[in-house]
Amino acid sequence: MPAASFVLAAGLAGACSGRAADSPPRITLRTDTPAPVVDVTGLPRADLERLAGASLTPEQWIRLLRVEVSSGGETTSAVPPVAGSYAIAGEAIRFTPLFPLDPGRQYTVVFDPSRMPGARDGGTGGRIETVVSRPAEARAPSTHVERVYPTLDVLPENQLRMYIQFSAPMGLRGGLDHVRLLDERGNEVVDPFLPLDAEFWNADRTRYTVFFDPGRVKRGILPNKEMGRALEPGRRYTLVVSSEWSDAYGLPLKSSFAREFRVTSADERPLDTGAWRIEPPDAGSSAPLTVSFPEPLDHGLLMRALGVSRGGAPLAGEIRVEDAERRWIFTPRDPWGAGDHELVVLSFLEDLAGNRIGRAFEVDAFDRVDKGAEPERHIVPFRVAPGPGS
Amino acid sequence: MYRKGFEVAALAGAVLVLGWAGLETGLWAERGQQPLPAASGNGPGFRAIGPLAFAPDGTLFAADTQSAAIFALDLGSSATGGAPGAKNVAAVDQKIAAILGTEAREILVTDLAVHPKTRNAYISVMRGQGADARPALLRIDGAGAIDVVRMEGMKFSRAELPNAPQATPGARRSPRTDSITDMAFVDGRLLVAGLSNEEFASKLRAISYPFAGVDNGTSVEIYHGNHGQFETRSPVYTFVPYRLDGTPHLIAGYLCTPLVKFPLASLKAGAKVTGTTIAELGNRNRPLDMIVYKKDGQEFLLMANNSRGVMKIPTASFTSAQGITSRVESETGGVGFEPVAHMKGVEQLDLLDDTHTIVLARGEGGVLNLEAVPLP
Repeated sequence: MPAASFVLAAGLAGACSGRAADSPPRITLRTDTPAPVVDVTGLPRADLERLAGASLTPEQWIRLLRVEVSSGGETTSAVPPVAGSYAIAGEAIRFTPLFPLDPGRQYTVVFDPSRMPGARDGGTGGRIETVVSRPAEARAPSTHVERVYPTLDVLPENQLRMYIQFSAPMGLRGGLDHVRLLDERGNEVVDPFLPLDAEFWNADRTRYTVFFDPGRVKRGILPNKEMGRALEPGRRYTLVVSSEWSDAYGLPLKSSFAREFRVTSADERPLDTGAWRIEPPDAGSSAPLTVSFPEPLDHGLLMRALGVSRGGAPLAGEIRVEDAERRWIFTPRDPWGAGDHELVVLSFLEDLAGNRIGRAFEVDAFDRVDKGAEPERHIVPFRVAPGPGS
Repeated sequence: MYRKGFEVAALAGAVLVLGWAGLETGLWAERGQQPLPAASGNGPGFRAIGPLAFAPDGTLFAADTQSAAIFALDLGSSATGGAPGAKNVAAVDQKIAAILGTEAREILVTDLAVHPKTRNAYISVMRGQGADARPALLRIDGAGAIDVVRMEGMKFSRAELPNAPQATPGARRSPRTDSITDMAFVDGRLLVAGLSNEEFASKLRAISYPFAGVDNGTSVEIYHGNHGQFETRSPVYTFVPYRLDGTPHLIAGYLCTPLVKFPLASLKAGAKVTGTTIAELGNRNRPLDMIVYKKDGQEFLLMANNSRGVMKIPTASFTSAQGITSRVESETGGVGFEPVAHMKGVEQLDLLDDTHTIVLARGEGGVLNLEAVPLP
C-alpha cells in the first residue's frame, strides 16, 4: 500500500500567509526515521518560526495536527487522537506517536492551517485530510506446536499438567480457549482444565502450562464427586490445539495440533529414589551421568530440581532429559573426580500426577505441616570409580 | 539462609534506581542475573505491566509480570492536573486503543487502581500481541479525560522476586516463571501473591518499602472445606488487608473459592502459615478482585468472581468465624454472602470513594466499560 494519498481542500492560500500557491502543505508518513513519524511539509519558514515560538498547549497542537485511527468512514470527534509528541523538525511539523503505528493500519491525519499561530480565522476551509498507512507486513503463519510434554502417549488418570511447546513466541491473548480435550468419539470433555486468567508462560512465551483442574483430580472432594476426573482409565483421548491461537505477530498457527494418548489407572504413589538407577561414569572423564526412573517425571521440574554435588558443593554442568522424561542426563563442566558424590533432589520434583518424594498428591495432609517454605533437599549418594588410567 | 544482593545506581537526570539484584534462597538457588534497568534515564523499563497497587502516599506499585519484578513509581506531575475522581467511560477499551494508535482487540487491560488522593482511575494495559507488545499506563480523571502516563524520566525503584530454586548451578536458564496475581500495600510492606508455571503452589511475599529486600516468601496453607484437606497447593488469587479486632489480617480469595483469614503478623519469611477458611463460596469459580467498604455503619467485603458474579459479604462475623475444618458437602458454607445481581461482567474492581466502587465491566458486544457504581 502506498505510504499516503493526498486530499487537498480548496482555499488553502488564504489560511496561511506568505506561502506560494503552487506548493501546498504535504502530509507524509516517514518510515526512514527511527520510528515512523507524520510530517507536514511545504510550510513557509516564517510560519514555522512563529509556531516554534508559540508554545502551543497539547490541545492546541491536536487542533493543528490531529492523527487518529481511521474508523472506516467519516472521522468523528468520538475517536480520541493518537497520543504522541509534536515538534518542528527542520522544514516540517512532526508528530511522533507514543507507540509505533501498526503496519497495515490506516490513520487519518488532519492538518488545519487556520490553527497556525497568526493565521486568520479562516474556518475549516484550509483543512487537509489524508489517510496514511505503513505497508502491511506480508507474513504467512509459521508458528506451530513443536511438542507436548509428557512425551509418552500413556498418561495416568490423575495427570496434573501438560506443557505445550511452541516453535516461536505466542501472543498475549488467552490460551485455554484454544485447547480442547476430545474423547474417543470426538466429543469434547467438559471443563478438564483449571480456568486461570494468569496464564502460565515461560519468559519468552514459547511454553504454555495447562493444569488439569486439581479439584477434579483429587478424590472425594466436591468437583470430583460431581464431575469425576476428566480422564477415565482404559480410554483414549486427543488433546487438540487450535490453529486459531495467535502467535506474537497476531497470526494463527500454521496448523492445528493433535496428540492422542491412552489413560491408565491413577498413580498415587510417592516418588521413591531407591527405584532410580544411577550410572556414574569413570573419574577423569567428562562423560555424562545418567539417572533412569521407572516412570516419567515432570519435564519442567526435571530441568530444575535435580543436581549433582560433591562434598556438598554443587557441580556445574548441562542437563538433558530423554526417553520420554524417564532419563536425566548430566554432563559436568569439569572432569569427574573419583569418590563419593551426591545426587541432589529438591523436594518439588514431581511425577506426572504431582506425586513427590515421600508425599503423594492424594495424601490427606490435614495432620501434617511441611517444615518450611525452603525446598527440602533429598540426597542420593553415588560413587565415581577411579578411571582405567588411575 | 540467604544472601542479599543490593545495588544502587545513580542515573543521569538524578533518577535513582534501587535494584534488588537477586536473592539466594539457599545454597541451591541461582543468583539473579537480570541486569538493572539501563542507565538511560528513560524511566522504568517494563517488559509487561500487570497488577497495580497504590500506597497511601500515592506511590504506584506496578508488577512486571514478564520479569517477576515490581516497580514503585513516583507518578510526579502525572498524578496532578486532572479533575478529581473518575467518570464513567463507555467502551473505554476502544478509546484507550485509539489513543495508543490501535484497535481494542490489540490491547489487553491488566488492572485498575484508584489513586488514594486524587481518586483518578489508573488502568494498566498491554498494547500489541506478543514480542512487540508494550506496556502502557493510563489515567482517567473526574471529567472522563484519558491520558497516557508518560514513563520517560519517571522516578522509580524496582524489586525483583527471588529466582526459582535450581539444583544445577549454571544450567540453562529455567523456563519457570512466577506470575504476580495481586498486590496490596499494608503498614509499610508490599504484599505480593504469585503463582508458578511449574509448581502448583501458593506463595505470598512481603517487600518492605522503600525496597531493601524481598523476603523468601511465605507458603500459605489453608484448610479447604470443599476439598477436605489442606490445600497448600491452591494459589491465592486476590487478597485485601483488613483489621479484625484491631489486628491486621489478610482476607485472601483462593481458587474454588475459599475465603481465608491470616493474621498479618504470622506472615514471616520462610514460615509456613495455616490460615483459617471462613467461607466456601462455591466451586468452579475464581475470585478476581475484592475491596472492603463501609455502609450504614457496617463493613462489607465486595468480591468479583469469574463465574459467580459479584458477592457482598458482611465482615462482622469474620473475627468470630470458626474455621471450616471438615468437608463442606453443600456448594457453599461458612460466613454468608449476598449475590449482587445488578453488577454484571465485572473484571476489575476498586474502591472509588466512600459511596462508590469503580469497575471495569464487560458489556454488550464485548466492550469494556468503566463504571462508577454505588456501593451495594
